[in-house]
Amino acid sequence: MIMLIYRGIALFISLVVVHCMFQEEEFWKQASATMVIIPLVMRVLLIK
Amino acid sequence: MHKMNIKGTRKTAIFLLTVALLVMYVTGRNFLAMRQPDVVIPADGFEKRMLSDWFQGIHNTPADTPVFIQEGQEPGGTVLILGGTHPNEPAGYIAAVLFLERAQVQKGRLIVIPFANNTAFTHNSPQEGYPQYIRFLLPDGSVRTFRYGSRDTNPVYQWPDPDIYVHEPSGQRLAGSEMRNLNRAYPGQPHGVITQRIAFAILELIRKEDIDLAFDLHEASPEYPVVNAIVAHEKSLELGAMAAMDLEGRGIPFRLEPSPRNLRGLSHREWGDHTDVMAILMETGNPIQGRLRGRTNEALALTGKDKFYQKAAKLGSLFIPYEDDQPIALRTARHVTAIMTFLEMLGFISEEKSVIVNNIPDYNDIIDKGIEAFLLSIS
Repeated sequence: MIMLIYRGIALFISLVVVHCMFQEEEFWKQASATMVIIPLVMRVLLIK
Repeated sequence: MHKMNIKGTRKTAIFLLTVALLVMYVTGRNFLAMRQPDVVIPADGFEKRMLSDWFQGIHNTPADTPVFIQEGQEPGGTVLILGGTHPNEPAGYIAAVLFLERAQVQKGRLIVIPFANNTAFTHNSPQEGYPQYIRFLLPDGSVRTFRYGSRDTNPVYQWPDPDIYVHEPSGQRLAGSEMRNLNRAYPGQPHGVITQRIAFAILELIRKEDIDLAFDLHEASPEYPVVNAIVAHEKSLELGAMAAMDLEGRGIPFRLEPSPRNLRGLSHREWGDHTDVMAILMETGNPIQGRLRGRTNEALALTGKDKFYQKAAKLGSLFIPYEDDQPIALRTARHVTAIMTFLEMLGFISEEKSVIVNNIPDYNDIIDKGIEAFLLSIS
C-alpha cells in the first residue's frame, strides 16, 4: 500500500513538472525540468 | 559564464520531452537487463528447486531463487553453501557457482544457493560507480558473465526504507537502509517485507532439510578488521578452530571470530540460535568495496589492483596481506579451500554427519589457472 502511495506521489509530481515545462518561457529551465522528470518516471514505472 | 538565451516554447518543451523519453528508453533497457538471471550450469547430479518450495511466501516474487541439491551414494550429513547474500561481494557467489558446476558428492548432501538475495542482483548500489557485470574469458573463447549487484534488496521491491530499522525480534536499531540487507534480516518474518521473507525462507530450508553445516560467503574491504576471517557461532566454534588451524598450517591464514551475541540479524548468529545448524560466515578482502579505492571498474573487481591500497598496505593500514593486488581467483580459492577443509573436519567430528565432495579444484590450481579454468562453457 505504501508503495502505491509513493508511486502516486511520484506520478503527481511528474505531471506537475511536465505542466510547468509547458508554462515555462526559459529553455534552460525547461531543460532542468527534463532532468527532474527522468528519475521520477523511472520510479513510477519501477525500473529504477 | 554567458548562458545562451533561448526562448522556451511548446515546441522546445515537446523536443525536450522527446529527449527525456529517449534517455529513459536507453537507460531503462540497461537497468532492466540486470533482471535477467545469470546462467549457471549445474554439475551432473544436482536437482534444481526453488527457495519458495520451503516457504510459499516468496513464490512468484522476484525474491524466489534457485536451490540446487545433490545427494551422494553414501548417507551422511547435509551442508549448505550460500552465495550472493551481498551481490557486490563476487568471490562469495563465484565460490558457490564453482561448487555448483563441479561438485561430485560421494557422501551426504550438498545444497547450493548461488544467488541468495536475488533481488539485490538486479541493481547497483547508487553513487559507488560499480560495474554492472564481471566477465571471465574461458579457454575456449566463450565468456561467462555474472551480475555485480548491490549489498541490499532492490528498492523497486521494498520501499520506502524506515528512518530506523528495528530488527525483529531483538529490537536492535540500525540505519533504515539496513532493512534491505539480507544479512541483518535473520531469522526473518513470514509476513514481513521481502528481505525478511527471504531470510525466513532460508531458515525454513535449514530447519526442514536438517542442515548440519552452513556457510554464508562474503567479502569485505581490506581496511575492515573482520576480513580473511571465519565467523563462527558457538555451535560451530570448535569446528571453526580445527579448520582455521589446518588452513594456517597450509599457509592460508584465517582469523577465527566468535559470532557476537549482541549483533543481531546476521546469519552466523541467527542461524545458530534458531536452528541446530553449525553456522559459518566467511569473509575475503575485496578492494573494490573499500573507501580507499581509486578507479572503480570491472578490472578492480576482478584483480583487486589499486594504487591507493598499495600505499595503504605499505603504511600497515590493512587487515589482509596485500602486495600488488587481490585477484578474484585468490579470494574465491580461499572460500573454496576453507569449505573443503571444514568438510574434512566435519568428518573428524562426526562420521555420520560427514560430507565428501569430489572434483573441487585445490587452492593453488584456482590461483594458478584462474576462475575461468573451472567454469563451464555455455557455448
